[in-house]
Amino acid sequence: MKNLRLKAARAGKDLSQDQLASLCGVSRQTISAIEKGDYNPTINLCIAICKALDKTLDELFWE
Amino acid sequence: MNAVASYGMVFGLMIGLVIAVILLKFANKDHRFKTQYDERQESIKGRGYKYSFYTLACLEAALAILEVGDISFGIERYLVHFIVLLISFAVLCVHSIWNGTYWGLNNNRKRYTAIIVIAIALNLIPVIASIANGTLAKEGFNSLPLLNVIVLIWMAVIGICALVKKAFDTKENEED
Repeated sequence: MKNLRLKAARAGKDLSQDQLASLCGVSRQTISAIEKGDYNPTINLCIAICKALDKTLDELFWE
Repeated sequence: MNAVASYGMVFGLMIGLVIAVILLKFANKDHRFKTQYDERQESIKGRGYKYSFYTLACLEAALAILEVGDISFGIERYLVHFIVLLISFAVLCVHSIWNGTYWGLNNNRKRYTAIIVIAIALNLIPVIASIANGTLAKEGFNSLPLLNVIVLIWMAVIGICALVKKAFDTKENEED
């Protein structure tokens, strides 16, 4: 399932996938895979993404 | 080459390899040269190694059966084993490329591109030399340095796969 909330939050911060990836210490393809719903990140990566986007886990990842 | 010289060469190569690995370990004590991957890349690479291992095991088993049956190949036996190795490496590379894992987080792409260009040149020179010497026209296919030709074909396959993946990625980015 696509993670449109992550995509919207990233766009809200005016960040590209590349920029968010370097903020979180992962590759651009990993961010793309999470947004497309092709990859389930670990809790550590979820927290890193939330910190980079100033969001909570609930806001980005809770269904 | 007599038997003693052959054994000497093989043992020399093996000992050289072991020394090279030990030296590399010492040189890379602080993991400066170690490629770093993120969690998704690690899991994909793990799966790639698994597929690569299965490919190697299956092909080597098939080769063993063919050799028991005394079926000979048109080329030298060491080349057949080399091809099997390259096929299993190709499985890992193609799987990694196709899942966006070929580059690590800290890879210097320019340096890698330079290494690839040098590797292509080093493999291309003997092939061109044998064609220029006229040995290809005189002695046919077997006069070619087949090992270099095989490596070049392998590199071409990986290169084509990388280009196709890049084209797909560009298209996907445009759609996003």
